[in-house]
Amino acid sequence: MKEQLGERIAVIIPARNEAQTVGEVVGEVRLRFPHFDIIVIDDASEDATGEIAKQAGADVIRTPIRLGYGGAVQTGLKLAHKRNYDLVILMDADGQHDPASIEKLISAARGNDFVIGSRFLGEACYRIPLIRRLGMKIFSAIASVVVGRKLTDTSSGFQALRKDVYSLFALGDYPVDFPDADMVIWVARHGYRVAEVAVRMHERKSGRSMISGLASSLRYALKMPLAILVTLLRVPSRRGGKQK
Amino acid sequence: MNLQVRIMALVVSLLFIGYVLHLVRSRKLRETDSIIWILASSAILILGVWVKPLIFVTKLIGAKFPVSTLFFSGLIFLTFISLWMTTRISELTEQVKDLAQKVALMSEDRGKVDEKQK
Repeated sequence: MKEQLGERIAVIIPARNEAQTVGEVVGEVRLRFPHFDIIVIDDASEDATGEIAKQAGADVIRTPIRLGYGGAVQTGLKLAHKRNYDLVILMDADGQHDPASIEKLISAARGNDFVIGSRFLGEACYRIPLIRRLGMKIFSAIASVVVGRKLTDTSSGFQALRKDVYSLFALGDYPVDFPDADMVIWVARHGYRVAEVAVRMHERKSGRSMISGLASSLRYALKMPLAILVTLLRVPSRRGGKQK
Repeated sequence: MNLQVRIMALVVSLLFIGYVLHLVRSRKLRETDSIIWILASSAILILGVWVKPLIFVTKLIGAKFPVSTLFFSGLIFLTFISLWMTTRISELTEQVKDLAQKVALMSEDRGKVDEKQK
């Protein structure tokens, strides 16, 4: 696919304590897309995540301290900016995101700048707790209004970002806690084309979700409306942004 | 404001200034960060000696006792200090994150150089 498109593509996988699954994920991506660069951002794991990812064939960048999901993703985006990739695929290390769906993201990214892999467009393979699903729906609905097209899964971490979009986050701010509708809105406000495609997602094979437990869920529920409001109030940066 | 309260305010503010100076001397607090605390405790010290401004403000805001005005002012001051400290923490957290990312990316460069040298 790399030759077909003539593009340099990187798959960025943030990981913390995912030793049980990261090897399998990297291995499968490597098998399907041997020409892509696979970069695992080891977020100061306490297990052998980094070593296993390296053995499986990934470039591993280890952060000296725990930065959280958003901090790890942004580290990957900064590296992508440095290496000047044309397209970046973001996916999780816990086995939730099916590497077979990467092709769909890439195809959609031919005509769009930012593509979200949605688990709610028909191919979800697992159940999501009702309250969390409700939160996802509400925030996706708000983002849909701003973006001007229907979005169903803004909380998905399975994404494709064109150079301009990932540079926006590499050189500017990236939500540290729960990147969600706020980052989608930020991208749309810069005039970039946002799209969604159906992807296959499985139940996580190990580890814990970013939003698990009462305190975390409450923090997510309180933080997200505020983040959306602040994103709407912010003036889009001059550095990024597409001429409409 | 009776004499006992005034003496109490004087003693507490003097002790507080002394403690702040001790923290600066032992390098646990930077000079610039200590200024606000020295100014605040100096204000209490001055108001303990010279109560007229306090009585004026008490009448102005419609409070019953000068002590209430003092407590109210202290509360407002502490609220603003907390907010300011939180912004500093946010700023420092951002700086730590940026530094950690730079270190991570530099380690990657270093690894490449090491591999080439092998």
